[in-house]
Amino acid sequence: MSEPSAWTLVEAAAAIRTKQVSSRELTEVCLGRIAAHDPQLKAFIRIDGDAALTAAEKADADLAAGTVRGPLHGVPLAHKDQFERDGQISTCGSKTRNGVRSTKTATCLTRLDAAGALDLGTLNMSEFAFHIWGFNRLLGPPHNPWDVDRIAGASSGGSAAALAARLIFGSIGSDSGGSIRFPAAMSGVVGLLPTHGRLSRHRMLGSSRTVDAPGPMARTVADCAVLLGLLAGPDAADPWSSHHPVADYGSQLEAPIAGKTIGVVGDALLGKLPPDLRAAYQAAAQTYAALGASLIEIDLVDFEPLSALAALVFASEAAATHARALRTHGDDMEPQIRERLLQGFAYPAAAYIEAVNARANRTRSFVNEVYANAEILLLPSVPDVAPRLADVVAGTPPIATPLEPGYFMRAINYLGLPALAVPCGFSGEGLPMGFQLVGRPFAEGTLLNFGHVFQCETDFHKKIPNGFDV
Amino acid sequence: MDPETLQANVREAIGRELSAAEATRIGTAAERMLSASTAILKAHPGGVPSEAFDAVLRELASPANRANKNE
Repeated sequence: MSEPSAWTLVEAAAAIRTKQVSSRELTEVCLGRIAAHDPQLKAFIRIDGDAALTAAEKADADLAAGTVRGPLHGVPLAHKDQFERDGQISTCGSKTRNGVRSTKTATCLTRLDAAGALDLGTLNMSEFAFHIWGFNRLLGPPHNPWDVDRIAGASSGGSAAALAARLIFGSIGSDSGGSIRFPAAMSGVVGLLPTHGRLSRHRMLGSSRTVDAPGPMARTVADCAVLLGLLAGPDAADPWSSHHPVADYGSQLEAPIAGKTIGVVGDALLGKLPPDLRAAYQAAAQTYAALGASLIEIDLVDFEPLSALAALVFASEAAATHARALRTHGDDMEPQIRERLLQGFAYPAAAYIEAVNARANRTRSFVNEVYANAEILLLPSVPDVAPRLADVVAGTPPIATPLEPGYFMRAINYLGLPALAVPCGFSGEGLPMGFQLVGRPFAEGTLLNFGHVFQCETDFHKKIPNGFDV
Repeated sequence: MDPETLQANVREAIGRELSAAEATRIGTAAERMLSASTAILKAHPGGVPSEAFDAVLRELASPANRANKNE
């Protein structure tokens, strides 16, 4: 078997279960890589090495006694520092939360605990999960393992960087306007934005009840399917969680896609992408066509007005959510984040309510138009590769497209639809590029099926960044 | 929203004094979003309360309901 840090989540779980490796050995491998690489990457906000090793020893003892806690027995993970854990401080990437100790544990963490997973620590993120470039006063943004002078993408950048550098096997991120899909694309990993309400947000330090969504991130689609299966489902502690039945995502992964129809975007939109990204998107579509899928061009609705609705809703709710922190710790916030929060005070309440209430009809219209003839929609994700950290620090980084960086992202959050970000190649500079698959509500199984089939045909997810060899 | 009104709103809500430059910058960004939002809301009036959104998602999840529930 290959070097443990190169294993997928599925392989790591199987190796522990079959005693090819102990949980302690695997945890030591991860902690060793974290010690070697994290000072450069800044993927972690907090490293809980001793606690993780103690938990690993307990997992090994349980296994020796014949007790398997769950599908992730003894597997080391780490999550965006946005999910509360009883007795710990979850910073949400903000100095304003210094010293605020949680008294409850997020349902997402509880469910992974019940599956036997371990926690190596908490991962870096943009302050309050705002902003796609990763502004953060605690540590600065995480660095991209593919080029450490570039950002990893945000806001779940710590998760993406740690996965790409083979420091962990899986992670929970969150996505309110692309915060899982941006870093997944920029760092060459997989990330899933689930349907609105599919995962509980109980004790997730969110900003917007309308568009916030936690979701799994990993190096493979199959790993994300495992995590989703453990995380999805209703939660009495979260009244916004959905009671829609949870599918058996693993059993759908291998379904043939021959004869199925994929909606693709036309040249008018593709022409606005940089050439490398356009070519990667087209090659991905052709990979599906070679497997027998039909491609049908979709006359896609303009995403800008939908993105504006998303921004209005998000800013209004975030301003209310963080009003107390603005009152008491406003000067401790990153100036760009504070300014975005203050934007919420510039919208009339009537406009906010109208924007929230318009959502269902916009979603119904979009679904009926796009999925009348297509099973799934193949979209670009980020319209450029990861920008340089120096450009981000200096202000708005240049991107090689007339499209807004979040053009393909925010509208999907507003519509409440699921989307899966999948790596699909490397630019001429060797930087990761990705696409996203967008489905009908609760079509996560279909997305994972199409994503997995693509990864079976390609090896982009197997590449390891230079300097992070296993 | 004009800068003076935004300054007053922010002062009232969180007790923070915005400079004229900050208020202008924030107000301009918000106005751009508001303008784009208003256009789509005017073109598609009507709405569904947010608490009913999950029911709509569940309805749209069913292939049997494809394309037969146009607004």
